Amino acid sequence: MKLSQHPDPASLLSYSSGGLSTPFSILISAHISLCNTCSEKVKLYNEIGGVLIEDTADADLSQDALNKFMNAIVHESDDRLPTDSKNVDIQQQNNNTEIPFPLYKYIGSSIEKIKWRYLAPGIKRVSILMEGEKNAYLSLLHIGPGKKIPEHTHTGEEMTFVISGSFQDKTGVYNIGDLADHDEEIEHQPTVIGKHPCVCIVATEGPMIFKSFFANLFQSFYRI
Amino acid sequence: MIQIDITFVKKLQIKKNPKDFSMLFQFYGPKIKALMIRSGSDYAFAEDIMHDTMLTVWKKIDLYNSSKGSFSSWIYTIARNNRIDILRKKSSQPYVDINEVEMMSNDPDSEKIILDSQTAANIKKMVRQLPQKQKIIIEMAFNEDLTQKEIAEKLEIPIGTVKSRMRLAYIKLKEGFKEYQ
Repeated sequence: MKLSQHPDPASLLSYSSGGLSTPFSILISAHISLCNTCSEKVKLYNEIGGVLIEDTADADLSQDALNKFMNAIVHESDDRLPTDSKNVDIQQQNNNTEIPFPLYKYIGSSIEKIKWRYLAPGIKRVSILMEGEKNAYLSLLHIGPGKKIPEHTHTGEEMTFVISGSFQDKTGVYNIGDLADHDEEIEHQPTVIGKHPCVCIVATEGPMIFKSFFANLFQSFYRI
Repeated sequence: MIQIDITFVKKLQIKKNPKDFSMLFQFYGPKIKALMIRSGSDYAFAEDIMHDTMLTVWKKIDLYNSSKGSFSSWIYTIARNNRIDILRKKSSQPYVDINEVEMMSNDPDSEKIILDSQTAANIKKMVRQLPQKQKIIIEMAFNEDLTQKEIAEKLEIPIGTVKSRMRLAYIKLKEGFKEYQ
């Protein structure tokens, strides 16, 4: 798939080094699953991690570490592909859906099956519970054709991955598979373009800050 | 000292011989533990991650594909994911990382990156040759597992500066990597 909007290389580096919170990592994973360009960037970063391992001076292991490991592998059945058949299965199942594999376990196999909650006229939302995450959130949005999210900035980073439809803001047009990677400095007003609704998944570090008083009042009730 | 090269890994993929795995364990185990300690884990936790990582390597060795990246980078991603899993999750939503899936897959469209000892040496050289300000940030990200925000706080610079140095480092590394291919 040829994609036009990609994550910041700095975000990809943080993804590779393990420095992104889970909601953001999930969105990058979804994008990479469709984007060879970003996948190659992450591979380069991963090679740095590989070199790092080879370059690391050894730490002392506990006396029984090797025995513990040998006991564990001897007691493992010698079945081939014991755990990864699960991953392969999920990928194969996912080939028939519009949801990229890394999102599949969080939102299911089909947009049609999502149980939306009304948020505002033309806008529906589902919050995805991220256990163990205190400062990062994941939400799924369904925005009708022509609808606008009120102009806003953020209290932290915001990433948006497009699952279906398209939207645009002052940074560009975002289609299926594209990822908008915005920091707190950006002020924008995403608008759905085309005849179809836009379904996107959004990772945030904090609530949006709207320019309009009424939108902020709305935000205080609905916590978007 | 054992030589962990692609021939050795292929041998493990053909036959999962525990004796060979004990050699792999003795080579990578102490390095993974050291890396985890350097990332802020205590000794016991670092050893748990190391143990889980080596068990995953045992279970998944068949799926390692050398055309997708070096064996060490594969082990690195497994260790990193195990650490993230244990630290952030301990829940019903284990971390799903396309890196691991991608590297095990057999996508014919991907470019080939085979990390032999020469390439590994070149990557080390490229990282060492980065301007000091960029190198520090790369080292903090990979060695200490810090987020962009944590790096910014530690260096007392804006987060935007951290990002721009990461971007510049990527451009330099990419140029260098192409040169050595």
